[in-house]
Amino acid sequence: MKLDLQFDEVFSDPIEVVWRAITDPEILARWLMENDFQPRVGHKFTLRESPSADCQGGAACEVLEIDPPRRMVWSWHGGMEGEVPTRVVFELHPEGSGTRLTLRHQGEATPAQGESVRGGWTRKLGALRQALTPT
Amino acid sequence: MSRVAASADVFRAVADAGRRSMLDLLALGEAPVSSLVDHAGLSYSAVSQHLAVLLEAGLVRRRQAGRQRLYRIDPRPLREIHDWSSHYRHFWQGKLARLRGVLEEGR
Repeated sequence: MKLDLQFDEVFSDPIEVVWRAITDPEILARWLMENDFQPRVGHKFTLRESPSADCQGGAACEVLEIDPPRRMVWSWHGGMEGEVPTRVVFELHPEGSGTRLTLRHQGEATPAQGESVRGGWTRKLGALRQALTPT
Repeated sequence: MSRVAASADVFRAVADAGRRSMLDLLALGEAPVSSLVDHAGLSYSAVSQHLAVLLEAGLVRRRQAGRQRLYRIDPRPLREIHDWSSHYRHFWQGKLARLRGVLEEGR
């Protein structure tokens, strides 16, 4: 069974700004997870939740492709034994004065992945919704 | 059987096109092996092997009706696969909403 998810988001920011938001480690930490990302092919990095986050999760990733400011591909490994890495593909296209981000998460499902999302990620979503709610 | 092993079997079971074709037929109702052989266009022994995998994964149930064995689908294990995909869907939807917020703050 394949995992094949696609998301399309259009932002009113120019492509360089969106590219920076997905490739600058500090900005990535603000919307995705804490990380030691570097924008170069072959760089292995870890995504992990901040200690304050009320959830488990994270991923061991590697930059497989990077073509600024258009396309970036990561391998994604949720950290379970026996898990087969999946792929996360970011693609940016200018759209008017803004930018379309297409994000795809693809791969083969394995039992480990089923388990990894079952445990902590449900609670994570609750925390995420709280974080997104304006105070 | 542990949950991990159970879902391993489900993923493996539905990864094969021949088995998916057999499940498609059984989704319409109970059927004997001969119908599955006709529908899937596979040999009797191939269908038997596929049925063993599907039975093991809990996706198919079997009962004896006179001299015939009838097979029917049990879709419940498929929910585990749906869960996996839908969890990642929620994960990225949440993260992308957050990205939008970060970009808006920067304007």
